[in-house]
Amino acid sequence: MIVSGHGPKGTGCASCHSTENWRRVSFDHEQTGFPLRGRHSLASCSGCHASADFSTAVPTSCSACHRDVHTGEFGTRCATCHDEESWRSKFDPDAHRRTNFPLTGRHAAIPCEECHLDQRDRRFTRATVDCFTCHQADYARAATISIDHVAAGFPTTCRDCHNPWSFQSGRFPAHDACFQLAPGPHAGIPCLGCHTSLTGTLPTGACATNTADCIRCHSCPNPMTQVHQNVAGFQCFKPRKCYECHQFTVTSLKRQRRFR
Amino acid sequence: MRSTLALAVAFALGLLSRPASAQRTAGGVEYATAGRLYLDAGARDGLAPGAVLALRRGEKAAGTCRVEVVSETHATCLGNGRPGDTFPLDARPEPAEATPARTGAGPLADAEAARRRRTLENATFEKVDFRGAARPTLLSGKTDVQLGYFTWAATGVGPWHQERLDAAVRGAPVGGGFSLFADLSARYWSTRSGPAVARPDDNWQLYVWEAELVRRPPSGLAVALGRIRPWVAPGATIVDGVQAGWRTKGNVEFGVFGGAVPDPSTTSPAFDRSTGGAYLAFQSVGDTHSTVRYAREEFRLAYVNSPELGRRLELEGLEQMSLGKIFDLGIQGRIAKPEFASTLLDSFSADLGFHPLEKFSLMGAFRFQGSSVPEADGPGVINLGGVTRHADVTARWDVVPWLNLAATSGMAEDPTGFSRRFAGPEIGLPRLFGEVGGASAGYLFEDGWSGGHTAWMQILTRRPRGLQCLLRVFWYRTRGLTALAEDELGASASLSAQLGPFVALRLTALGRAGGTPGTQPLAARSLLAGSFDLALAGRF
Repeated sequence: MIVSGHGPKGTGCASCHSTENWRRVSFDHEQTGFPLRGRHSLASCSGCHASADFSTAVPTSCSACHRDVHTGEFGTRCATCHDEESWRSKFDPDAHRRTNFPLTGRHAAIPCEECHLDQRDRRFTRATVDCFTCHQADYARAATISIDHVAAGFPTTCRDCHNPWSFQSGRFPAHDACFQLAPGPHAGIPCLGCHTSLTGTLPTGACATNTADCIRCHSCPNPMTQVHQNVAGFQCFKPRKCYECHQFTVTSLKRQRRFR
Repeated sequence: MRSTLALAVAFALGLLSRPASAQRTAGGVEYATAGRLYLDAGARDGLAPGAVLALRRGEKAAGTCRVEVVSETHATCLGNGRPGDTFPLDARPEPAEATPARTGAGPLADAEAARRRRTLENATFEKVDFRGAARPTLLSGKTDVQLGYFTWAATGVGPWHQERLDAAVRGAPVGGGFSLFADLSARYWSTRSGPAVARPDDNWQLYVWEAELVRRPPSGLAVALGRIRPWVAPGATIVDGVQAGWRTKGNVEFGVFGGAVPDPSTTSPAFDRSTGGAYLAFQSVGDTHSTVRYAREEFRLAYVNSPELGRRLELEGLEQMSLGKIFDLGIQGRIAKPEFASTLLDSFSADLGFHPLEKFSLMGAFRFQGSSVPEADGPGVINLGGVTRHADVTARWDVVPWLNLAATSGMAEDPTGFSRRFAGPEIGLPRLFGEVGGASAGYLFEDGWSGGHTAWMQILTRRPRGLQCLLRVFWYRTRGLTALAEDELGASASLSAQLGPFVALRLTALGRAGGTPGTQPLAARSLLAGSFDLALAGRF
């Protein structure tokens, strides 16, 4: 005869125990509505059930048993990021699309702590999704590797020109109003491949910067001179004269060729 | 009369136990323990020690077991199974020689049977209580150690590599009623290509979140000291200090805590940050028929000093409640009184679970973060941020065991006016592959400063036991993030394998390709990114 620790209902020993060992318990926990999966299947009964007679309800919310390392930032819904297999987060770039900042491009392939630096309280709240908040250093560093954004007076709305995959090959949609870059043969040419200087080129909408140097690539001698011999005002060594006629939008190019 | 009845019962049992005229083709599991099955077939059905039986559960395979001991009509079998599982029986072997029929003794006389019964009933015996040998502390299952390798890479950027050791001890007894709780991570960046924001000059990093000795008896004095995460003090950050409280038998706890607050970016000890305060907690657990199945209230009143926010007084409260099986509620909020400013709401969150029907549930959440949540943003750069809000709601209907439907919607907003909203359906087929696993798929329509579409499909398997595998493919189209729309197609795989009672292997791989509709299609494969991590986890 055994001394039961499970209260008055605890005499059906064989429903859970066998003669092999008291500790090796066989109980189909699925019937309780809380199947023991993953690490829960390795937990001891007393780890969750404070009372050995099992008559006391055990709350099923994670936070009833597990301490919150995020100091309350995510409330009681641990399962949004964690599962029963481990505490390793399953909050991936996919899940990030349910926040205010979808992780596209390279943002999806960098460590979380590059943006969420609070290690102590493991918080993930960011101040803002504005690019410049994180990329101030990149804006300043641009002067050393490509264009001095500060001197050029470029705005800090990075995404006007850059995509989330790379800062290289930045697009400048406002440029197309003056001289179309993409699509077309001028797409992909670095700014300083055409412009002699970008200092002071604050994009104002005005097209005349006087810094575009067409003849770096387009040579002046014949046959270009012959083609333009009847064009009034054509001066080969004055690049501005090129784009006064050739604005190089797709439609304008067709039109100008027709008039030629 | 009783003799006649006994004879009738014996005759019936004899009929039941007599070999069937037609040979049995299947046996069954009558009873199961953690590692042993008790079968309703034995030697006369062809079973022999060492034979391996293929178990079936309905139409599905349910593993195997190895026959251990065989009697004429029953056997035990080592393996995992459930009562009701069946197994095929091979052809019955021919008996080597005819066994002589057993002739049992005749039924006892009534007087003799009564005498024997009285003897048994009057016999005295001592109750026994099995107590196994104490388990060694080092194998108490409270220690987790994980060795991991992580890598990230994208087009145009060299990979980042991190090797990492994580360790956690959750309540290992150390004597004197104290237990050890620890949580730490040692990381080494073997490669970081390109500029790094997080501790760019520290390739070796050690984070310690917890290293505390704790004594928390069911009632009486509760003490924690070391690097503690204050117990039942909602919203309290970790401190290098002490906590002392008193626990009553009525599940009430109150006490004080205080100490120096570690650096938020490195968790290294810091003396320019501190906190101290008092806490009060109450917990109530009903029985399975109670209306209030679970209630928990916690409060923290603390003085907090930090370089970012200055000196302030914080009051935080937490309320959790489960009403029957229908309603779950969790609310947490914090108000703060800065030294030179008026009182403000610092944070508030609410979680709601509503289960009006057994197969229908409604889950919702709301989060508010006030303007004084510091976010470290690189060395020496701290953003105090602004108000952020997030809300979402999901309705789920388990139509049948093999089909569930869900719809989700939500929004997120930040202080500069950027906000996003999303909504979409989800369908789950959790038993598409029977006991092995299932599949699900979903779609989200997104609107706001970067709208777009998300579609995904995934397969989740949980068989064989101890192995979980998740495969997922997804497609995104994002508008508004840049001048042109962005397309992305990707896949991820996650595998978790319990290699033995103490060791598990975990692996995650993610790959994605990007493109711009019309100008740079996905097929160009010029924009690629991926991450991979592998971890070996031990539990001792």
